[in-house]
Amino acid sequence: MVRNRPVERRAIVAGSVLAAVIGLALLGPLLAPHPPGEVVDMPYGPARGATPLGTDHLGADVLSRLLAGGRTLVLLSLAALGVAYLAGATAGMLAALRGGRTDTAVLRVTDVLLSMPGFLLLSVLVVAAGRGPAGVGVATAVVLLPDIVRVVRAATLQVLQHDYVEAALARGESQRHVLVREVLPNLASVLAADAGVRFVGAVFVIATAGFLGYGAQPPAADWGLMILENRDGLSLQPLAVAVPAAAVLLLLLSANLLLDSAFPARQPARRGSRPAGGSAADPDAVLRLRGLTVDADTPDGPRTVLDGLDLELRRGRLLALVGPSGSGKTTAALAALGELRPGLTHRAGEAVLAGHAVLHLQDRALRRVRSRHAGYVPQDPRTSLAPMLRVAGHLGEYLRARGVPRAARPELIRSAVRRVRLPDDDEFLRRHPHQLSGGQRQRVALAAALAHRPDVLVLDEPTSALDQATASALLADLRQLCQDDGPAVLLVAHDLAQMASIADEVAVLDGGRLVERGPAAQVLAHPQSAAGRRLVEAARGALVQDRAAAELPQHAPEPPARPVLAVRGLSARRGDRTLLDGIAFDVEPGGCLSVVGPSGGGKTTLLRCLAGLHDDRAGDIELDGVPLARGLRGRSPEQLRRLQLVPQDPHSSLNPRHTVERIIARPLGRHRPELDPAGLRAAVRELLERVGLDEEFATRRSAQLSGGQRQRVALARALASGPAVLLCDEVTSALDPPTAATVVALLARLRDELGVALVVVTHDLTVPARLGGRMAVLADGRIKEAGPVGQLLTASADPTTEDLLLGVPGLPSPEPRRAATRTRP
Amino acid sequence: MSRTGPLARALRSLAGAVGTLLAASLLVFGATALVPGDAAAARLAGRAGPERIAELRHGLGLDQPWWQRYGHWLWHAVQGDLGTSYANGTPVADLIAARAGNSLLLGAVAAALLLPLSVGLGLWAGLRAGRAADRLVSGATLALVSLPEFVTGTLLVLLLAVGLGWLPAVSLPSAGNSPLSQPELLVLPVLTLVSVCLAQNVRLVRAGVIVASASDAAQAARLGGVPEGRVVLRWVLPAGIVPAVPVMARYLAHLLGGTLVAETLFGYPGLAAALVNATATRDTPVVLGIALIVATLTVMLNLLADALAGVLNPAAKNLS
Amino acid sequence: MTVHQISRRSALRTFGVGVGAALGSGLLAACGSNGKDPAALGTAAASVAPRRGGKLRAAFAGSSAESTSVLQATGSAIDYVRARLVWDTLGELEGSSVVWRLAESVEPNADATRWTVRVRDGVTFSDGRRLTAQDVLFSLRTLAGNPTTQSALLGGLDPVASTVRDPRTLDLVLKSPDGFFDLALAQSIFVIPDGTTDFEHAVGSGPFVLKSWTRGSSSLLAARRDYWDSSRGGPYLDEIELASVVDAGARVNGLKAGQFDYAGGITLTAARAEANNRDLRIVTAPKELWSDLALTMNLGQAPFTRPEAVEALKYAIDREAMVRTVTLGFGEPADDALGKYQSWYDTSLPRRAHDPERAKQLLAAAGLGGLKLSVRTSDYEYGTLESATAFVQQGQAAGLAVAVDRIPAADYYTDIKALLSAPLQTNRYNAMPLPLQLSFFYGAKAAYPFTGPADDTLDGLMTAMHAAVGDARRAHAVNDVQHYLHERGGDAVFARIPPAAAMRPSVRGVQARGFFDYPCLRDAFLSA
Repeated sequence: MVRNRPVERRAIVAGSVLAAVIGLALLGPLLAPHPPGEVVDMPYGPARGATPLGTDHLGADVLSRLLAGGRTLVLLSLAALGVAYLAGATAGMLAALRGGRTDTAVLRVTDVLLSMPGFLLLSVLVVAAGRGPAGVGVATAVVLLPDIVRVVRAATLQVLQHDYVEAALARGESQRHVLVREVLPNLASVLAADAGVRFVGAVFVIATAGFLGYGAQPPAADWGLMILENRDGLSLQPLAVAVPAAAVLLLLLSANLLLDSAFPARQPARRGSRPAGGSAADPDAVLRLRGLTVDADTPDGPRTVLDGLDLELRRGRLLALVGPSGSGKTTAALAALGELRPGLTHRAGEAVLAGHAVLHLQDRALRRVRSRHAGYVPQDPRTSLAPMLRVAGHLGEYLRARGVPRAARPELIRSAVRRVRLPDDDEFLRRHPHQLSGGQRQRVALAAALAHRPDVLVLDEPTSALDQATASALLADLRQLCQDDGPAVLLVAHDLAQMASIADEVAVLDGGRLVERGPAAQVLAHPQSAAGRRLVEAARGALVQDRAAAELPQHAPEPPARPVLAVRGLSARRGDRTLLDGIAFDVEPGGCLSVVGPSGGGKTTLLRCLAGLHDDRAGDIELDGVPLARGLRGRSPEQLRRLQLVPQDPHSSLNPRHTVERIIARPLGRHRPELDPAGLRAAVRELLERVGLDEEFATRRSAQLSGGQRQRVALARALASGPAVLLCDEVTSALDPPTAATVVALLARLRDELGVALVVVTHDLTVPARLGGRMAVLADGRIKEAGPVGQLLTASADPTTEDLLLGVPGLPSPEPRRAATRTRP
Repeated sequence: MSRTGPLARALRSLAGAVGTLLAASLLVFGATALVPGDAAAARLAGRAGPERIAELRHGLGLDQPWWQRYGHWLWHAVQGDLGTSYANGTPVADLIAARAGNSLLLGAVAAALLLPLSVGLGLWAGLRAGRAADRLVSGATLALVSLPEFVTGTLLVLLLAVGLGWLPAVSLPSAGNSPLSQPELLVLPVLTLVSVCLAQNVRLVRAGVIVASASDAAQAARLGGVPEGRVVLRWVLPAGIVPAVPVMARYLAHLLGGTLVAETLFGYPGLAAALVNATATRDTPVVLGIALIVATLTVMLNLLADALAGVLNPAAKNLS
Repeated sequence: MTVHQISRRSALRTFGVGVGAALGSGLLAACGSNGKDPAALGTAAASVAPRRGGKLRAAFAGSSAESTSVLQATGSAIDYVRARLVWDTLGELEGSSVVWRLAESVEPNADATRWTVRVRDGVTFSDGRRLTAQDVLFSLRTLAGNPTTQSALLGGLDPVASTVRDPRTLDLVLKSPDGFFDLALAQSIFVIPDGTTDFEHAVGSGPFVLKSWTRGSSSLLAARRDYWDSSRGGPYLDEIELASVVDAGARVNGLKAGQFDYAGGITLTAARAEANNRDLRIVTAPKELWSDLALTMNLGQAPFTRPEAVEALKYAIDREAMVRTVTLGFGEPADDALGKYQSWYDTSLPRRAHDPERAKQLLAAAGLGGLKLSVRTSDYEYGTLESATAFVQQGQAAGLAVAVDRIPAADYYTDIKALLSAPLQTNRYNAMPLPLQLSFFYGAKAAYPFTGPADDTLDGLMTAMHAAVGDARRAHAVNDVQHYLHERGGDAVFARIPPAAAMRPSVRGVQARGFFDYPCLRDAFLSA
């Protein structure tokens, strides 16, 4: 993480000012020349000799009262704030986590407290809690409480959307543990920002209580009270108010600045200014990168990301840019549009887009070139469209940017949508992104990019988050769109198999250098570069046809033992929609069941029913012959231990605040309490090795791990409690094929070595092809077909399976392939 | 009608709101019963003998058990009659109607200035996060909120009214007409109220804008050639203000419910001053009347905030 | 009517929020000097000839429960000022003596059990009706029969036995002899037509008529040209607008910003801050209308059952220091007796100088060394909390361990049991005719015996006082009571503190006539 000098400096300044003010408050009473109540001179006397800051409304020395007045205020407001946050955070988190009656009850109480006039609430609470500092402290805490509950509840709801919380619950962790260990660390930044301003509120509630006669008995002093009781003499002796006000101001400002700098906002991309000018426009190539060198500034010096890259692209050609992750593919693609992520600096070379040196252009000119000549499709459909914009609004904005007059837009929008084979009726055009499927969202983004017939279209791994069928349909349409004098297409991809069918040329990047480039068929058949060969090999390994033919890892046919997992007549609903209906299957000990099918078919819901995270279901599920309760609460600790969930999204399956060692040690400690700390560390190391990670990963956090490594840690965590069944939810979908392949291989090895049964949900048919065992095709909430993997892959009897198989792209193999009979109706 | 249809949800939240109002009124009634002394003592203590006070207490019915009095009040309140003030027997509705109007007016004008200002400043600072402009705005708003409300108000009066004489020092409409007829009366109270409420809202909008501006969607729009102005308007702003909406609703309720210091400092006849007076003189019907208005405002604005959040963040709607 | 109860009516004062922000002209113009001694109200005005016409805008403390009912007239300052303009009273106070208004003469019988009232002739109400004795009797019965502040003073009147002898004569019968009943009749006895039922719109015979009124905002009054007394004085003005401003600081701001001509009830801090402000005139009440600050000891509660403790406390108070710090130098020391500068006051009462050593010896002799005391107080009005806090330090010098027990302003007066049983508490006695004040706070029939139950000697003196008839014997009887209280009373009255007000120099003719914080604007006018 780049050390940001100014933020750090500001934190030190704020910290020292805060320390000074609190020091003044705590040590003040000892230094005060006069006791706070001693009348020294005429009230509101000016600053002179014995009274350097003049006197206040009682004639007491302002300096002495200032020194004496800080302690009660600081301690009481911090105590009240502490109590309020303790109670507020607990109530807020519980309400968010439990939902249902607890949630409505907590919200109802906060609403009632919020609707009480604050000042009336304060006076009643003090009467109930008794006058004096303790009573005022309690009253202040209760006055602050409702707001804190609402802020914490909202923030907790967001944290709960991450998988690591559900995984912890599925592991049988107590709600208290989940809140304190998993949720609270992630609320810190929200609470800090809120605490800053809440501190101001606490100080003034205490001062008002004091002023109304509820606080400390006179002649005790407190800064807030001093401000209020001396306001009469503001014009006569302003210091009597100005000095305590300044003290309070310093206290609050430094506290807030410290909190702000402790949790800095992420710096947005700041475009450094670059020397203007550029080389002569080159007529024929639409896009040319020449000698492009880009460095990233890391804590230990610059690291080259792109090293003298040369690339051209002519109109109507589709170039696939491939390479292992971290090879600079995305940086090159974005540089073609003149964009460098924050932290990257352009060392040498240039990028020429339709004759313009985009890396040298400034905002307005760059924006005009992009809007006229370029189109861009982002990677993750979930965040590529603004949640508030409807489909028509989104497309309209892009057309507006191209200067298309308002009148002409509706027609252009409909044609753009039709071009990417999406319905162009009003109902669809009025939909919000959350009402579209992943594939539809990517098509909308594509439609927007192509709306003005750009010269160059850049796509950054557009299909990585889509299931195979949707992805291949999208790419086929893309290929067809570029055919008839379409734009030049630069497609960053990681799935070589998909590229085989649609790319004209393939360029392989490794370590920022172009190691190979050539026609797709030739590069895929005879890769020259080492990186190219590794990629093709990994892709070939994923080929279904070859696996089906080859020998599947046969298990010695065990005697028909009692199934570890038996499901009979399982159905599930959400609200009034039926998700699953009449599901039945068995899983023998050490067996493997892959559940495949189109997205939205109910695969994930099935897994959540097994894991106990979806309780709106009927039918029964038996683990080791014992029925499993619907929700988590009804299950015994033993059941929760023997059934472990591995979540889908590696980015959200691990708690960002915890180290790898702590993530694995927690379930391990619960399963094998007899281990002492040293034994525990050793066991963690052994588990890490088992999942193919060496021990130096133990001290890292999830932010420093790649997708594959995170998935392995999630697996290690699941294995830590010695489960009988591993529930894997799309564990390969977010990984590039080479990494996915290694993870699947790991699963297979674990099944052999540990005899753990697997239930793997996936949309990628290559997974069951590698794992073997049995397979079930799930679509529209029903099991269409089930049986051994080999039999379903080669001679499937059900059209759904047939469609799935068609979706899997083939790869030109070096030797002539046996004519695979595949007919498509 | 299905259990989760929009109509069912609306009815349920309405029932919730009524429940909250009922609970709030019971809590307020309990509060006034808990505090020592009662309206009769408050009115005549020190000016008439204890036996005359007992006579008045009986006259006002204060010697009945508290739950009977609450039942009596509730029974009438449901029919729209808020009862009469213990202090001088005038109907509570007359006593607080004008003041409620004044407070709503002052609150509305203050909100009309506060909302655009906090969104504008939050957006401006958020788009320049970390740079000098951002630190300036954050520092200034923080300093404003750290100053007590009445010190800010006092400084404003000294400067603009007494010192320069541009504005009236006391925001008091002349007999018979509403503050609307003399708008200059509202300037100083509004400036004071806005200065106090600004900091929290600006900080929240700023945080929201920073996240939204760095989001993939906004980045994709910029790469797609959409000019920065449109990116800010359609991509950054709607997502940016979502976190601030519930807090703004809280401040709105606070502003509309009457603010004590602004009403005291500028002599503005609002609800808060009346509430303080009614609580001091143990005038329970007036306290309940005002508390009901404040409670209704708070509940309505919370419902509005939830609805607005639904509009701004449609995905969240079916999550809740 | 006793001012004592009225000044606390301004609600926000009870919350101390409105202790009164006195705002000088320039923020940093910290003028240290005490400035010239402010003129007493009413005296300097005589030199200028009254000018007719114009509109006076005056600001007073109002409250959200304001009302135009004559029975609620004493509810807040603004209600009271408005009432004094709309309705005439039987009589008013000039210094210590009574000036009869609607009454021509008030004479007691030999043993002060019957009082004869002659009603003035030629007085008309604003609806043209003529004033008769029946109107006066009706008004007395209404005020006595309703929960009004006047009812406390009319307690002695027997409403049924009192009768109208003829249209201009009234025979009032008292339940027990009261030589000072004439003073009671001079305490804001507003007269309304016989048979009035709607007290909110009761017709008055006063110099002004209420034209428009908005509760909590302002009221507009127009002068009556046919006022019965207009030959000898006001109304000179055409109109008076009364602004209801709860906060004293806001009133001063409005005055300096030119929105008002007169600001009632300003704080002493404001008075000192504005002393050098040429475009304002700061006035304080005439000396007999100043308030008395006292540390009240309940003789029925330990430790003040021991006379030495009472005596010691009286010597422990540093009266000069209290004047300098609590009254900001405006006030003056008092001699453990109320009502200084009134004709009834016994000027021969000796002064107790501040003598902490003597206090220590008295306590030691009585075996009360290191006595622990708790002073019950609140910031209900200015002066009480401030003096209690100052006394903490003074008490140490006299060997007393004093602690302040501050009660929230709203609870101070409502808890009557605590009020009458607190061993030691602060009191601010606002100006009231001395005989009425004494009978209100001392003796067996006292409404609020703060200093504990009366012993027989005090009872005897009080009954004698009530029975005295004729000025010389009444004065002598009052002096006897004062002497006794000075020797053995529980009230250590240590300082006198003036109420203050501010106005534009052109404002003239504003008379206190018994109540400085709610002045009589009848004869007010605006000079050139």
